[in-house]
Amino acid sequence: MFALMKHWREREVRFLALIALTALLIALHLGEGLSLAAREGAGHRVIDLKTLERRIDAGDLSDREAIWYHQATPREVGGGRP
Amino acid sequence: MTAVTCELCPRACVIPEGAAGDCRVRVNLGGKLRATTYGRPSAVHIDPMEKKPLYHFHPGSRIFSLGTAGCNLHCLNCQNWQLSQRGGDEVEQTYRAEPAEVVAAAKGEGCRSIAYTYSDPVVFYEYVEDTATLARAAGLTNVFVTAAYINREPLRRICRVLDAAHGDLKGFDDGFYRRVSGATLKPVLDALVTFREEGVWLEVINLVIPTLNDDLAMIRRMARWMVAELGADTPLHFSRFSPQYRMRNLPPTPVETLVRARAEALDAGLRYVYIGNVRGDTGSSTVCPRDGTLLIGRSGFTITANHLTADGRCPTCNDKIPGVWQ
Repeated sequence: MFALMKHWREREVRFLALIALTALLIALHLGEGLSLAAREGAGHRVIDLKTLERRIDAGDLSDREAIWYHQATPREVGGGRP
Repeated sequence: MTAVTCELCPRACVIPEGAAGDCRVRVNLGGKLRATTYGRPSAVHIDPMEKKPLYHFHPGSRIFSLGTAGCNLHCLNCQNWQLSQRGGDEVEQTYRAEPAEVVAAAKGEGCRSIAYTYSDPVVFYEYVEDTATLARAAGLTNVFVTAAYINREPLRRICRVLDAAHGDLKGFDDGFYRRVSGATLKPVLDALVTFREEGVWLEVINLVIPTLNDDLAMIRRMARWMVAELGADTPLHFSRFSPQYRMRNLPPTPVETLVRARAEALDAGLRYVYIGNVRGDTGSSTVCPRDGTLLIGRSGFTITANHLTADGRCPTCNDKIPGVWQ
């Protein structure tokens, strides 16, 4: 294997470095996602609001007000997921 | 734009207008949090109690079971992911079933209990509370089948109308919870203790997944914690994993692994340890811890023998067997 590597040119090295960097970034992204998901104040999900409102209007879903919530404080808004 | 903070589960989601919490179904509309699946279940069935599984709570009875879309956990091995990992805007089918209609249907079908199940009932909390209140008034019992990822105060309140809970303790390792379920361990342990403190009949299930949470030392630690914090009489069910959803790369749990886990938990001091999700009757029957008398025989979800006395005692030694039998 090392004998083969002697013939590598700069182009191959750059290509492999790019692959390694990509793999590293993917791993970091996945890791961050998991740790964010498990963290307090872990944020929210963007939904298809029009579909939701249409289904509420049609009676397929409810707009019943929930309990156990409060208006978010500035500190909470600043600390959540962007 | 008025954001709200959900106080229901440990995630404490901060939700801007027009978005949902992590559970997908609690949505901020106009600065108010809405429970969008209230009265809109997507799964409704009548099951045997043994399917929940609850083995020490009205054995052999039928239980009216319902669940809505959404969940506050995201287990890679979820068996109900088509329901749990979707929001109200994504799920295909919803039924209109207001609390009074659920109670009437359960009674009409001859069920003595209602189970809030399939997805996690934490995310349809208000629907559970209203239905359970009416059900109790109508003489039905209420069963909460949950991963127990809920804050203590909401849990204490809902416990007032619950009779039994089936708590899912997915593993006894915080890293496992983070990697597999996107959650954390401590709030789950706190919630299980709260069920006990509030007098709700509790049974615990542990799904044993090969290579991820089948370490016998960890299982022993879990059993010891249960003995110390929940009591030795709390039933523990070891359930067999089958490849599902995003965890199809692992094989089903070998039955021998479940047998070893059961032996470990019994050795740690638990008195009622069961094996589930396997064919036949391996480890699924209730026997008297004192003298080994067969009390309730089971095969799958079927009761094959019931030798308990009418007041829930062993017919041989007359020991009281913990549970809700009447």
